[in-house]
Amino acid sequence: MSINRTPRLLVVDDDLGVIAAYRLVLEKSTERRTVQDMFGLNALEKELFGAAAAEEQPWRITFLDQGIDAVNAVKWAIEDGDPFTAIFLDVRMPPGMDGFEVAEQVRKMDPNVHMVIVTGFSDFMYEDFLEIAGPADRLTYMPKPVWPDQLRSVARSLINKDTSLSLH
Amino acid sequence: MRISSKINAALFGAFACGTLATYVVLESTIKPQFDQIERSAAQLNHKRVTDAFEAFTDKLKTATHDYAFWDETYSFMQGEKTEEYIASNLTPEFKTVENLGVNALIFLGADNKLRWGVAYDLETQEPLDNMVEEIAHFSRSHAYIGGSADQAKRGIIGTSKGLFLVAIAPALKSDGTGDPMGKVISAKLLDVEAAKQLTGVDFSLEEFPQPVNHASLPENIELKTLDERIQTTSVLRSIVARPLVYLKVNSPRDVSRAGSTAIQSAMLMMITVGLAAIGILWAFLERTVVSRVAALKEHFATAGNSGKITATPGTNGTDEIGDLARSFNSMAGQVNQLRDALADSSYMSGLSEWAAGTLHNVRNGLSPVTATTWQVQQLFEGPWLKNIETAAKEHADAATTPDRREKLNTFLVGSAARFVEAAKKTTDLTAKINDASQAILDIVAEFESYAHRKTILEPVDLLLMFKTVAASTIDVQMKDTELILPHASAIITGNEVILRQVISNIFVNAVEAIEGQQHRGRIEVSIATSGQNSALTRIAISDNGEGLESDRLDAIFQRGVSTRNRATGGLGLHWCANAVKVMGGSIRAESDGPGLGVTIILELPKYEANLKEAA
Repeated sequence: MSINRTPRLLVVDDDLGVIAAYRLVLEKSTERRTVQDMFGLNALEKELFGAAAAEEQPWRITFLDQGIDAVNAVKWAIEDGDPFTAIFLDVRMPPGMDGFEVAEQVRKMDPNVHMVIVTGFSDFMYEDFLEIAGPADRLTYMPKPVWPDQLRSVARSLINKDTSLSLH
Repeated sequence: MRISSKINAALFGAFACGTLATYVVLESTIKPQFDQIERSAAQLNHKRVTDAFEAFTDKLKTATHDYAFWDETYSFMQGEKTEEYIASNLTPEFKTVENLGVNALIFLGADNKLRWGVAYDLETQEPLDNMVEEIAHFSRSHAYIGGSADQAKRGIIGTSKGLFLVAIAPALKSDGTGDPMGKVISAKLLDVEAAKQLTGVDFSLEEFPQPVNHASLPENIELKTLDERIQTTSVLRSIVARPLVYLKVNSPRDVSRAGSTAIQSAMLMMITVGLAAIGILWAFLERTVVSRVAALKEHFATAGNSGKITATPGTNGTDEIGDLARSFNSMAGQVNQLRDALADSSYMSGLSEWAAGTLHNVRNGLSPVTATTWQVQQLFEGPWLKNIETAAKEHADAATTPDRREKLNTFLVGSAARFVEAAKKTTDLTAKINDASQAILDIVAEFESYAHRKTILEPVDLLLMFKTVAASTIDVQMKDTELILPHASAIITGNEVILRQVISNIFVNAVEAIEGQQHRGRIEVSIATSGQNSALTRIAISDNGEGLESDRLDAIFQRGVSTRNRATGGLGLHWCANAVKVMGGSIRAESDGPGLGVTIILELPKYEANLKEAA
């Protein structure tokens, strides 16, 4: 098993506004990089005041808005030998397959992938998902709205957990 | 096909079959008996005629034998005392035959010569020409007849004057001994009318059609059934068995006619009685079955068309239809209860779904806000703001080397430009936050428009509704709580489903207020016209629970305030107050203080014929 691959994240949500929020939080921020590295100030700042903040481990990310697309994406990723590390999954995605069905099918295909159920609705309890998409250490429940720090923290921890597992 | 039509068809079908079967049985069994009796009677009539002829000849025989078996006649026939015999016994001639009741009396000697003979028409008293000789000739031609005592005969012979009854006997001594000395013959014209009178039978004697075919003549009595009569025919034969004429006897068909009449009368009676029985049975079925089933059908159809399943009044009677009506009423009660429960559940579920859906949209809408805000935060994240502050301090410090000051200067100028750029980005991102916030406001506006949607108002029977709600709240939750409902109801204008939720909420609060009290619980409902506005109905729901302080009477209807911590949840009095307001009513609470119970007072518009939709 390759241990040097860049982790892959999959975000599934039918609300394009939420997808946009995911993009702002999880994609590398061009605005921040542009502003903070204007005129090459980062190098001068480093010279004047010491080391800047360490760069985060990079990840690749895919955004989808329908459950069936997510199932297919997971399937093709496994077939390509480049499976997703974690999936952020909405629950209500009318008119197609809902998050519960997606989680069930994904878990059947990939027992290792981390799934984060991100929902603003309490149709299903965590226990319901645990039954069909467990185990508990690979299933996280996050209520909406998306809190960026928490989201990035969860993404980081899952990537690190997966990497650390792969190293063993 | 209606049930009454089926019953009619069945009754008339059964009756028609029964009538037809009876008719066939009567015609095939009874009628032939009548016909047989009639044929027997016809044959009896025929025999009666022939018996009458026998009786006539029997009289002739007696008269003939009186003369034939007599010593004086015996001597006379031998030629002795002729004059004397004639004078004393045969004179005057007409009187002799008239006294004997015959037309002719003839004495033939042993040598077949006429000793004496006369023939008269008894009515005209005129002699019958040639009749004596004709009869004598017949006797001579058939010498054996009357040739001896055992050959004495009687019968009929045909003559030129018609049929004659004759008796021929040998002339013997009075004791019947001696050689026959000739024959004594008496004859009488066959009187058909007299025979008819004697027998009471209508008959006729008819000549054979010429030429006579003896082979075709019937041996026995022939019976022919005609429409009005039965005709029996036989051949009347002479004393020497020679066919003479047909004897045709007509017998009326009275018996078969009486039989047919009897059968027809019986059938008529049966039809009359049967129709009457059908009428009575139909009336009975109409009253006990058809009309009641029709009423039930009408009731079911009304329930089916209107969707309102009310109890049928047709529960009288202990039969199956009564049982059916009672079962329907029981089922209707259960269905109504279930429908109410379903409506309540659907309403609650709808509210829950609506609220949850709105929350979902709000939560989704918040995600861009939090993300964009985070993005703004990220612009100023890191050590660079603190480094600007440090650089400014160092730049102002005289101890800073020129070279470092120059670099600090460059850094500060660059940072100023970077800060300006960050401020611009922040402005852009703030606009995005505003847009995302506006989206949330749109969701909330939609929520509000839904909350203020029009509520369909309808007439609501208060007492009926209280009973329904009580069955599912007080009865279930606290069976030892006494519920006192008013005797009279009132119809108000409202939404029954919403109002049931309001009343249910008030009842549940009352039950919980009663729990833990020492005395027995009591909830009393009263309905009256409002004292302040006659267009409103005042509903007071009082409990003897723990009561409320006066300063909390208004607060319990405010958002977020609960009378207690209910595990069961519920819509709460705040929601109730809004719902009642939507229906054009009001709600308030009264209490004399802790321990003295609470009275919730609802005022709702009385029902008016023209319903309106509440805004």
